[in-house]
Amino acid sequence: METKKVETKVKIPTSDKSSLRKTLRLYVFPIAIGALFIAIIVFLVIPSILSIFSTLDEISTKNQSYTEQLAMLEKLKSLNSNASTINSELKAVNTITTSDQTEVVKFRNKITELTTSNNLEVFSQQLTENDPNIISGGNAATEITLKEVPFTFQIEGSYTSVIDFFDDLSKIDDFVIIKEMKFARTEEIASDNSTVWLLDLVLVKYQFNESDSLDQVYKNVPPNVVISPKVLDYIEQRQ
Amino acid sequence: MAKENPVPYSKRYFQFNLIPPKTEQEITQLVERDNTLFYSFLLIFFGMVFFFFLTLIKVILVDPSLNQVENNINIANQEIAKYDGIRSANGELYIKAQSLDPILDKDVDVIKVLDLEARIRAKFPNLITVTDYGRNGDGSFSMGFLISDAKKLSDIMDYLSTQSDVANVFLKDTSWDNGQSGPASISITFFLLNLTAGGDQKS
Repeated sequence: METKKVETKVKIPTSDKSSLRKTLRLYVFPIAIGALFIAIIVFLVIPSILSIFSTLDEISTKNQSYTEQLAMLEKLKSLNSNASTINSELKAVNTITTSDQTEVVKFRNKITELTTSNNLEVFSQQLTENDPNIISGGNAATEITLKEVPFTFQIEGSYTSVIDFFDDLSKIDDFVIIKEMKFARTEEIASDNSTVWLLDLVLVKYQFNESDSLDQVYKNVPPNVVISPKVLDYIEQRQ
Repeated sequence: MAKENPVPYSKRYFQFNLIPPKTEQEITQLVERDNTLFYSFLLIFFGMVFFFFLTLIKVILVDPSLNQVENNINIANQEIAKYDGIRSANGELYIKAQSLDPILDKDVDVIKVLDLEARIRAKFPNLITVTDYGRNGDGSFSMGFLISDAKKLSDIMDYLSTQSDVANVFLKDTSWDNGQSGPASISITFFLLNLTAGGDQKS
């Protein structure tokens, strides 16, 4: 009898158990399922959607890059069709602007030969090869440098000889420009009764400083750039 | 004797609700109609189906497209690499030409100056004899000549000013040998613009 009393005290009443089940079923379970659903949306679905859109953006960017590469390929094919012209022009530029030290001496000898072959008399000549000016390249982004070697001289001869000398000078295979000039008739008369002219001339020879590190700089130049027609004309005259 | 309240104060306070408490009968009806398990299953099921559907889209459509584009880019890069030689040569030619271009502007093109002199002599035969040519520090050219009739000087200046390739003609110096109608020594300065053989008249 005593034992039965204790059991009654410990046992949850049936109405309470039913109430607990109802509470779990009506409130706790739906909330838990709702939370799980939200978790699925937040941790699985939304990241998946974001990942898809991110990949689509990446595809779009890469497609644009691919289109640009195809355009570049077409330009390169077009450029390649003129490969022989470009290579010969480059060879000419490298020949007339070579950085070889012996070229400066060769240049001086060449000018002397030109004057004597045109029956001109050289009064004075000065080649400042020991202290050349270094000129930065036209494009600041590149590390290419130009060396300027000025050559001053004074010559005398007939008018036609000087004109012939200028003509020969314009065909010389060096990148040389006439920077300053004074060409005047003197009072002297030559043995053949022609007038004698005096020429003061400042010639400047230019040389590039070569470097292997420039190769990547050269490759980065777009293939559709336009080479200066003025320079191309100058090169053509010396080819 | 104080009046005894049948419901404790705390219980009265927390049981307050805007929605009136459901009666026992209503709760019984709700439990009978309740399909909580079924709807819960549907909710989770559709959530997972949606996720699965998105994963399928990514795996079947999006990722292969990305791989395809990347593959195309690699092929294009390999094709481009075949033209490295000509690309490098063209770049070198361009950079060197860019560096040489401004230097050519400093060049005194003697032949062009002589061409201008020849044109003046052709226009005014037996009138002038050139005594000197020069290039000044400001880039202008100078020409000195003897003129047999000083009165024709203005004609020469007019002619030069009408030439399209000559600019800023300036009479620098004049010295008459025997009055203003006789011979004179003249010095002029001018700038040359894109001189062409034969020259053109200014319109």
